[in-house]
Amino acid sequence: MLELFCLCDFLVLNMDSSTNLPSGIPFSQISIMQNMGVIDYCRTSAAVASGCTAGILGLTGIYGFIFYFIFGALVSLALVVAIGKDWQKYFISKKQFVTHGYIGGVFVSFLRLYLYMYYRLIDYRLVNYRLFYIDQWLPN
Amino acid sequence: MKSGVGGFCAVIGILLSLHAAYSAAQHRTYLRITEREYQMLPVDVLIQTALSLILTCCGVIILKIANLKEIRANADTEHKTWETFGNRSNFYVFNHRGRVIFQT
Repeated sequence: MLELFCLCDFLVLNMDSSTNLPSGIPFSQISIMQNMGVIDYCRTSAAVASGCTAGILGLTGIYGFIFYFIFGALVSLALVVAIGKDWQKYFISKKQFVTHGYIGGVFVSFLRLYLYMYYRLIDYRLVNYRLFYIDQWLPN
Repeated sequence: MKSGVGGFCAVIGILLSLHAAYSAAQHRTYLRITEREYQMLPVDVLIQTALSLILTCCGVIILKIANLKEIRANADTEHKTWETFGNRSNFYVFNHRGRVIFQT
């Protein structure tokens, strides 16, 4: 077992906050990364789905942002409920799955889907401009 | 079969969302043709949109939450025996008396 520990450079020693010493429980960096990947995946899919929904509903202005933040809070709640009581088995701190990815790259995927759906379903200006142009130049 | 209830929820949610988008687009077209002012989507489309969003998110979360791994370093090694860890392939010796004893 000593040999195994010497070979593993992916171990993270868990620091005890009160004594500022390693508490003796080594963490696996690979597992931590995989768990964060799961959280990222959930956040991104939720942002894409909520972006589509905001576009379908035709929210404008500040309401789109408000929708995003309210839904982000709901996703945090759903993650807390889904992970449950034994979250300490999977995460070092609660911050890792409650606030991670709330603001940042995930917001871009929300915005892209939101604008795409909005301009596809509601704002026909681009399409209408082209039709208008053709109508003007067609004979009768 | 492995994805189970989460995958089912996600797929149903995405299909519902597509149908809601189609309904919304149709409603807008209807309003434009009849030249009426847009007030709000019909209530059934609103409900369907909200339902699809909730279903999709819950489905994805249920689907992916099963992939969580325990972060303790020895979580997946504590049930293995020393024979597994002591097995060093670099120290295998093939040039021993067994070659003579177990000759065929």
